Amino acid sequence: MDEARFWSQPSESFERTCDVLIIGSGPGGSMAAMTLAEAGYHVILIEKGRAMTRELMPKTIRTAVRDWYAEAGFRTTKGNTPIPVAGGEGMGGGTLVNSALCFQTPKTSLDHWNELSGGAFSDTPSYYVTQQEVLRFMKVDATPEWLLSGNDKAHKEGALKLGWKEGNIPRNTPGCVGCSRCNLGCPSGGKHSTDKEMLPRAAEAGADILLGCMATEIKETMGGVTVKGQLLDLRIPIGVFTITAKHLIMSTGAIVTPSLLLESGFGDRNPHIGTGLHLQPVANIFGLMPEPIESRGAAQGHYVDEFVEENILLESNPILAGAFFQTFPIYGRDAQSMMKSANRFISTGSLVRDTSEGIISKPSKGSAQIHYDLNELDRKRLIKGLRYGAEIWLDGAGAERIVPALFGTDWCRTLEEAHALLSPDLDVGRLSLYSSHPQASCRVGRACDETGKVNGTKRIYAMDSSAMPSNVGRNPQISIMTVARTLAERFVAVHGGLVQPILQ
Amino acid sequence: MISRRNFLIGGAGVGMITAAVGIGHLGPYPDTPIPLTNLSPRESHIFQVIGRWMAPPTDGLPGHGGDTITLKHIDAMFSEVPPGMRTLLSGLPLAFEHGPLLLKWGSRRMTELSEAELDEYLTEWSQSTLTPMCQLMAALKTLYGFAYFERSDVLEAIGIPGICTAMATIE
Repeated sequence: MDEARFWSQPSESFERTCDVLIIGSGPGGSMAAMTLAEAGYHVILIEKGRAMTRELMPKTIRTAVRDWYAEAGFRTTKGNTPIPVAGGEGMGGGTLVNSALCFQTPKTSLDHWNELSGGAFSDTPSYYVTQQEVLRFMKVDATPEWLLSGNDKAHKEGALKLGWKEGNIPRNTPGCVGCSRCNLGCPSGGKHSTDKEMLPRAAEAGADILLGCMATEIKETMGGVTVKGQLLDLRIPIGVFTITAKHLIMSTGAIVTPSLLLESGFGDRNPHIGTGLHLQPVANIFGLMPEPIESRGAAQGHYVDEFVEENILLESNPILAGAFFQTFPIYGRDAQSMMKSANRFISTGSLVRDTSEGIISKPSKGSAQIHYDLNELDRKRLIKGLRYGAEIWLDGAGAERIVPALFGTDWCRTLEEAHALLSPDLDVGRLSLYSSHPQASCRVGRACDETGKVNGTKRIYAMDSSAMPSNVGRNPQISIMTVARTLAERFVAVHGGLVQPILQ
Repeated sequence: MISRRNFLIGGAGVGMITAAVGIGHLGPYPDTPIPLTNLSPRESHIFQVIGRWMAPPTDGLPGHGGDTITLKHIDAMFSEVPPGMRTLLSGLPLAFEHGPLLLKWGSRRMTELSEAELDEYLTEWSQSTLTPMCQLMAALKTLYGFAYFERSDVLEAIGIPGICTAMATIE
């Protein structure tokens, strides 16, 4: 792991000025910082979390989630079914703790974005040229066969047997050694998260990367934007800061970007901030193979896009014993005896490109306030996705039995049993879902103009997943980077400077 | 204006507290078996009792869901949680502890039930098809899933390389 210190973590209160202040170091903020710093702007990027150095690398899943996930891993929606929403908190943001999946923006999604945003990304050839550069910069390649885990292999065999359209997942992990723990921070340095090259390049171009800085208040003044906040050490306030910038770029993701804008009072000028949130909810389906499988390999190495027209994507999952225990309808001694077979567990997730739209309101007592009701169409799609999951494991991979992630679930040994459990009228409250891909809560074409400038403000921009005009339908990090790059280039076109190529 | 839902929730809460005071659901709890940072003696005791039922001592797996290592892990999971969420989390053990009020063991709290009664009581929770009960049980299982089944000694015993094992291989 590269431990060269291109960042700093202030321990004393300070006041600073700059051309562009960027809040957040995830895929959007890092790309914006690199683009604008290289275009000649004095950029300060602040990040609430820390750098995942070798010394701070979490040793357990429990500490990884607590220390490197937003709200210590407890961020959840309110609505007709509670959905935990994961988010990274550390230098690199989501790219630090994601599974490194790197899909291109599907053309159908881009077309949909253009319909919704009045053609904000209508130059599609240019969008895809940028995306190809992003893919190369992020060192994306399809997961090689030797890196597929036992779970991936079973997933692949199942899909092939059923004749489904499938593939090995493209990932930004050029140095992956297959410890299957990307979601907890890559211990080998094999994942090309934004702290590996994008942020160092921004720093090399003069950007100041300041960690442990949590923005709490944004004020737009005549000549710029003033951001106040707290300095944190292990999430404990140790000081305060004030940064005055000519322009502010919000890149804290689809949950925090609108939360912070609303908390700072911008909702009065722009009622669209925080609306239209998509979550791309995922429903898991677990199974038990007759024999132990290899647990080492890519965290998620295989996908099925046979059902893409139904907006359903199946992806093999990381194997986490705790997650299995949570889902399995077993307790006490039965659970103990079942858990001894954990090396036979398999898991797939059914990701749905949702049509439901949530709302984010002002945060309360440190927690994001997310209201999201899953609508009928998405409920049906998720149930359908679970049925496909049952099919791939039972009829494809030859699992002994499976169990869908439902509240009040049961084992199924045949597809008939699975279909009976997963009936089309299954209550929405019984779906046990999660989300790692909140998007489109401060949309270009609704809350922002086509440069990402937040309507009702003069100098505040959104360049992250919140700015996307709708959802992608796949893991979004490459789309977020492409959108951020496109918006940052437009910023330069308006305010001056010379954009440098992504690939150098 | 108080909504009907809030009125009902508030009414049920007041009713439960009144009943708890009236029939002795309140009372002291033993000190925590080890120094803990986040859990109160009451929460610690409740988690120990449930943990022993959730993941009991068994051949082949080290420790159990109510032992001090698991308790320490649960305690750590409760740290750095935003205050609003901490309040919500505090309700989780209390729902199970005072759940007997709503079921047939009304006069005693969960931690005062005999082993057989506890098994019957928690089995009733686990087999419930009522969505709120299912969700609370799932939340509880998530806690133990990560606090017990992701322990490196447990993972090693069940044949899944833990994080540290993976790291050691790399290094």
